[in-house]
Amino acid sequence: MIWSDHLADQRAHRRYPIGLDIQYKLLSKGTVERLGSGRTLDVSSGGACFESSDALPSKGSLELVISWPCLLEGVCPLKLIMRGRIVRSDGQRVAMQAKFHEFRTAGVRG
Amino acid sequence: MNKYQPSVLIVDEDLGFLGWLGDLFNEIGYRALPALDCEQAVSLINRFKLDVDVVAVNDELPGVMGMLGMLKRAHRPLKIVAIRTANADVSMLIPAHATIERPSGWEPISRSDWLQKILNVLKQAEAKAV
Repeated sequence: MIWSDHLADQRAHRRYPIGLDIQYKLLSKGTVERLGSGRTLDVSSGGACFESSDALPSKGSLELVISWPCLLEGVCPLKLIMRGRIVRSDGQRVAMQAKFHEFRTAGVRG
Repeated sequence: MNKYQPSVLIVDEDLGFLGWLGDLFNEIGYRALPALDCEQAVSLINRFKLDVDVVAVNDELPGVMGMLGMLKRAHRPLKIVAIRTANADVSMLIPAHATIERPSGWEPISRSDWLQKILNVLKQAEAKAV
């Protein structure tokens, strides 16, 4: 993604400052290259910006599992799954453009 | 003794706004249940048999009237807050007790201002729902 596309995406989706814990998978050719954790700095329908526990490359495919602050029936965590690609990385600060996102409960889609 | 925690169901296709509202409602003591569309909301409520005190919903989403009908039958008194786009020139599509507008423009948003806005909206909804 070129920078102008990234700016256009920012304009298309307002980003909201929300801090949520994440787990990420850095993917390469369909396999998990690396696992890590972090915390979101902002979230939008178009993606997320987060601080990673480790430095990430400036491009690559990512899957984020975002812990939503909600327990169903007091025990069942709600997760947001977001898949997309890295569009910017300043080491541990990473911007991701999402192609897909959905909520999942434990073992259940939707 | 467990203190009763009210719940708010937030239904909007804008993931960022959904998270933002949820975060604010959490801060004022609500359990915020998110859904990206009405079908997902109904599924969540039915599957987990959740009680809902407040529903904040984008009134332009498909299936909104059906979802509200189901919620009103099961959850009384239900306070309904319509999520609208700022300055939208459309008439109110759902029987809402209060309205909350998305932020307009691209200026940074103030958490304290929005917390106050949420409290005002809840107060308004409470008054009208009685």
